[in-house]
Amino acid sequence: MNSLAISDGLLFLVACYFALQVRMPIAFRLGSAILGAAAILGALRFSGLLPLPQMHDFFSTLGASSAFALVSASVIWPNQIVSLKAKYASILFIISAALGLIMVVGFEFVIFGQLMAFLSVFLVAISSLKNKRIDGFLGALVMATGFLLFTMEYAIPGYLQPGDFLHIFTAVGLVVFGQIHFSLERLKEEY
Amino acid sequence: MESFSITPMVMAIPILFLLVLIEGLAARWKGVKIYRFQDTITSINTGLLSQFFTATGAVISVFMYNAIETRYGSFEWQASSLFTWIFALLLYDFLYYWVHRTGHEVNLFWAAHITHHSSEEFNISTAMRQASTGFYFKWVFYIPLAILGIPLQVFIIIGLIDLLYQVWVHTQLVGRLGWLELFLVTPSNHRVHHGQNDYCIDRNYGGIFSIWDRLFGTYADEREEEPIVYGIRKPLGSWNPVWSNLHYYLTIVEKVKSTSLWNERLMAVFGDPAWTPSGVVVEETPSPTKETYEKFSSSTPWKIKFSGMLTTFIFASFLLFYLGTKNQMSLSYQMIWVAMAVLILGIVGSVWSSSRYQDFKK
Repeated sequence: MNSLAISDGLLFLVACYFALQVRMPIAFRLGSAILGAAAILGALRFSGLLPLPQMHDFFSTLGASSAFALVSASVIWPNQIVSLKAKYASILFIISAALGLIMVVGFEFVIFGQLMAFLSVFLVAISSLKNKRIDGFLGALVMATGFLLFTMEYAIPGYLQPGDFLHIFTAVGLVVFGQIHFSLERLKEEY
Repeated sequence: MESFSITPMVMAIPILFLLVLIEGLAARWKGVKIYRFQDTITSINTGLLSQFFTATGAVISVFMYNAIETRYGSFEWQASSLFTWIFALLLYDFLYYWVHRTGHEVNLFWAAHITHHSSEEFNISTAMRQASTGFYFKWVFYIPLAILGIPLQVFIIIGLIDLLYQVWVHTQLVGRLGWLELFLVTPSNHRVHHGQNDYCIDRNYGGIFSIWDRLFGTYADEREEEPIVYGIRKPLGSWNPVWSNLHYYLTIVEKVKSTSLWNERLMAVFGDPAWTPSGVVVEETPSPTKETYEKFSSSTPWKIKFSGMLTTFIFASFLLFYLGTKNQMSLSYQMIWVAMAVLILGIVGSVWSSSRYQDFKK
């Protein structure tokens, strides 16, 4: 079993936990579910247990173009219907997925997903700075660091591969964003 | 020398005409009036127009499906296996349910699908009244089939089966079908789908199987005590196939313009068709009844009948020629054909609708 299988397994556990939180915004849960699906397929692929490389690639593309957009929307607009209603979260999902697939599959613009993911967390960072939310900014920074290390193909030979950084930093970013939603939920309960 | 290809749609068009004729004769024999001349011609011309668009637009769907299936298709399926076909049909129909539901519950997509519901009659010609602008978003919903690796040929044939099945359910001549109503889309439960009575709104989205509606809470049975009034709550009021395809897009533009808030503008595009911007008061439309509802109509002198028959005949011949030779045309040439189709039907449709205006003035 290699490091990618373990880091994907870790991302799966984190994403799965948030996807199952019924009180979280549906956009956050949907985004987590897509990341979780990509992660479990990655864990199965890299561990050699059930290699479905095409399906893993598909969910990774979907994760890049749609999951980060959903997660970001839930952090930027936690009280808007795009975060709270399944219908509107699904519309965001479908449109971003279609756009991603047209660019990646139709036009062979393969880095489109990474650009979308980066743009999504960049918007979270900007919105957090504007609203003076340090936790949101940190979450975005963690995720952006993961993307950057992955894109630069940074590795620690013998220990961690570029994909590990993407998985670990995404998992940490999800935890930070999840905490934001938990704290918002607590605030709602108090008032 | 150009060769003519007999595509499935080339074969289907004359059959559809024949079905309209048979249903019309059967209705006359039974003594029920379910056809009106201008409505029928408008439905058929709208259907012919949509084929000009979807024949070209389908290329996008097929291209995307094929590219996604080639790149991400994860399993091998034998086209010779019955299991492949049953599985693909069930999954396709399930996904069709969601395509159809989205077409009703999201404003932008309703703008395309409303064309199919704009007829105030319900007969086989209504099945032909298809939208010209729906092709751009539907392919996204069928991606799961491509990811699973269902071969392109199976996808295309299943899609045709699903589409053609839905033709026969557009009839008032067939009553309830007993236990088949439990799991199939039938004329009875599809009549409900085309109704504008309160109990019919946003119901029965299934293509072949009604089980999806039962599963997701959108099923409604036909009520004998409440005869169905067909059509849409804000009537089209036109015989123009081009206008029937465009009118709701303009409604969306008006809704967007009526508000300065960005979230409301987005709602105008992606919200529920019933949604209105804050501050806009919309009078509740009461559920229509067969006795009080007034259908859009106009006189049909021989000039109208002759021009209608002639337009449809010429247009159908053009379409058959186009479908049979399209593959030998360049994209720009195809677009010229489509533009010509829009122009001809737009002119004929506006002439017909202006005859209604003259009736009104008299």
